[in-house]
Amino acid sequence: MIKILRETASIATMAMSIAFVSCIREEAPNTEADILTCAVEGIELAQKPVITNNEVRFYVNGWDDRSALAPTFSISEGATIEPESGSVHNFNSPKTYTVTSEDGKWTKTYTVSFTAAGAISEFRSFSFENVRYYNSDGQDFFHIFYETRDDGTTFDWASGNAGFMFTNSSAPAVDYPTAQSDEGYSGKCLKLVTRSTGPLGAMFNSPIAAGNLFLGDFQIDITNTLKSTHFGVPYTKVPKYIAGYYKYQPGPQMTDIHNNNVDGTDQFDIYAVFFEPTDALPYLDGTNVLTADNIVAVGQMDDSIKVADDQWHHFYFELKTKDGKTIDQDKLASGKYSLTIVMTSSVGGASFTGAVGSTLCVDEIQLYYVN
Amino acid sequence: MKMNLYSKTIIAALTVCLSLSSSALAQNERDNNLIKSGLKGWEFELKAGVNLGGAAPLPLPREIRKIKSFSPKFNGTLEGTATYWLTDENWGLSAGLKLENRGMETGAEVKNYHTKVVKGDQTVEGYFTGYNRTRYSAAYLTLPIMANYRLGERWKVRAGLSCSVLLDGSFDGYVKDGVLRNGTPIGERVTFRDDSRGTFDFGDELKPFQWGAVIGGSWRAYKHFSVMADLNWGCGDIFKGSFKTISFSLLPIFCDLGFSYTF
Repeated sequence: MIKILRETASIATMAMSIAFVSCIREEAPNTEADILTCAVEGIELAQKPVITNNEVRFYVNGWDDRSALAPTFSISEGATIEPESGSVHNFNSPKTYTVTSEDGKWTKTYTVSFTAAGAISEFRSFSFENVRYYNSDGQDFFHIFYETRDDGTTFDWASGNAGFMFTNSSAPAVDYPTAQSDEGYSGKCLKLVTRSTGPLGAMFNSPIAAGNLFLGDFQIDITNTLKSTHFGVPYTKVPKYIAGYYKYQPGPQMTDIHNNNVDGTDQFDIYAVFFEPTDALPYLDGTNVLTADNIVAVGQMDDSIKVADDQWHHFYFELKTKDGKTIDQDKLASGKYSLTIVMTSSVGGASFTGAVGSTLCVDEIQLYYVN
Repeated sequence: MKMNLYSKTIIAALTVCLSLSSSALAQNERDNNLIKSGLKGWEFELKAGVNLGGAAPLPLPREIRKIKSFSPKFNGTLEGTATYWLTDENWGLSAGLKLENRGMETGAEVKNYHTKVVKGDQTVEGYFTGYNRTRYSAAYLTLPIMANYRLGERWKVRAGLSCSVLLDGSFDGYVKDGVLRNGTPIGERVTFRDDSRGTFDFGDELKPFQWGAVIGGSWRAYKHFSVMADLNWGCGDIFKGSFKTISFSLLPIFCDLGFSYTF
């Protein structure tokens, strides 16, 4: 009798599956409005262009003419772009493009810029005085630190805040892991705090979010969160020393990726990596930032000089060239090397080990280089 | 998928019922006739079957692009029914008490499927394109009240209404192999690949009461044994009205196929 029931069941299953399949309705028009790839002719690119959710950045040589360029874009299926892909514009300053989804209901604006590869090399110091808000759908979320160049153009520091926003979107900006604080060594400063991501974060195996700030881009990769951090921006000088002021207090209890308590005291980290991007490794990420073969020089703050109290302390470290590595002056001048500076409130934050509440404040960073 | 307590109870009860009724077959027919005459117009049945069907949106929303798999699962039902037949008429009124499992498991390719995962006071909301797996399993105590009509010696058809009380239920699943746009279709991309999954559990949002319309029929194969089928078409969503995460209603539509033993 059970057998008959089973047979009836399988016949019914087939019938229902067929019924469902026949009910599949016509596909709705696409709602996405993304720039997927980009290219440009007639100008040499120093490095691979960077495409984020609202920015396209081409790195070119500072001496090239940018007054008449025609970048081309591939966009989401069925979407339209204004101005047209391939149209000629003056890119001495960034230009805004608008992408509209196939269904016409969603539009996204992209800032397209042709940045001189050496532009960041202008900076000798970073004071963390400037922030603007990440805005989505008319709502402000978290702080984005930026620096302004002499010509008025800006560049942004990257952080993992977008990852925190994914699970904790209702948090005020000052409760994000990376935020600005009024209590700087001088003026305002950078404040990095290791935060709990709550039960939802734990579900994604990311129970904590260490505060971090770095030169590069952040693009969420849930599968391997270490790959979310894309380290490096083109740099046309040879960095030698990094100095600044910091203040650190570890949180009370260390936890691991499963949110279990573990022994030990949390520690912060500040380091800088100078490397030569390749086609295979156009940027470094959390899996290889201190170990990749294309690293030319590394500097890291030594644990022995780190102090944990409520006072500001001066720090500096040297970037030491790796054995057997030399620097090609022509490549250097044309932006074929990259630099990242990384600061985090929990040294094990990338693998979700750290203490909630660990707080690192950094201010007045000085960058010393040789040409 | 863990089998809940009710599923086990129902399956155990089914087995007992089937073996009891086989031995009952061999019973002396005269005893039954005595009972029958004593009850006058009353007819008692014990039914056992399986619920086949699912909780489905009607029509299928455009977000669902492809049904990759569908399993109605083996949902046991056990029901006791009392029917009062009007004298010299073919009409009767019946009421039953039914312990039933309703469940299904589906895997679908979805495009731009709105989902919001809530855990504590946190939410992740967005539009997902990729693979979505849903498992629904719930035990209900159902009270069907139906009008019955006899067609000759063997056929019996019926229609009526039912009220189901949720005893225990789960509705969970996960998304994988796809992209979630955070907040809006143009929000930040969150990619799920390899084996990473975003799980959801809406079990607490299942509605405690469910009304349904029922039509069914029985065919008497032997003196005491009939095969029967009852289609229960749920009125409204399986979820509470306050639950907005899934942007369309899921109607419980289940067909109970089985056997009945008439005393």
